[in-house]
Amino acid sequence: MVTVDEVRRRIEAALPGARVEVGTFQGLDHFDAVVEAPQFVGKSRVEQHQMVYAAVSDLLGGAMHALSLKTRLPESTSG
Amino acid sequence: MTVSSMEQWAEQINKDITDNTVFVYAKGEKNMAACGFSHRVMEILNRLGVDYQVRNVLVDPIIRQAVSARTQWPTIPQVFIGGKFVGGCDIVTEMYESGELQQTIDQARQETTKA
Repeated sequence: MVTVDEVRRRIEAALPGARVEVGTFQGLDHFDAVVEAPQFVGKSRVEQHQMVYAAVSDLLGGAMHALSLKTRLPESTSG
Repeated sequence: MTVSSMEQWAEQINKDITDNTVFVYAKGEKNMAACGFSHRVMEILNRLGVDYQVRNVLVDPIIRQAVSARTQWPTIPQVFIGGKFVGGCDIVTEMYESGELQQTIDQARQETTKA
């Protein structure tokens, strides 16, 4: 089983400096995450989600049925 | 129609997304989703009242592989507008809430009428 902590650690390792919140819904194999990362600057929304998915690609479809995502730019760069 | 290999599906996907302004790869048939995320995407498109077509990826596992290989996107549903991949359930929901989804569809429709 994958834990919320493991998912958070994976995303943080893939995107150093990111602020990551992870939770579950509809049971323990549906995850949702809010990720705010400096690496998102200049990327499209699809690219931002792809960067997060890449960190957990081996889990998706297995222990992780779904990862619902919200990506954001760090506040200092979005204003 | 018998489509079975990755290449054949890649070709069929090209056709799906160019022949239809809005095309969805979903788990389940149109308006009979087998997954909450596919359901939400169809519900949003129904609410907008737009024409769209759906291909059920559960019919053949190769469809999903071929779509994901094209988009580098691991999950289903996947939504295409005007031949371009716009995202999955989260992005489509965000775009719906901001009004961007309707805009993107309107724009794609104008471009197809011109062509």
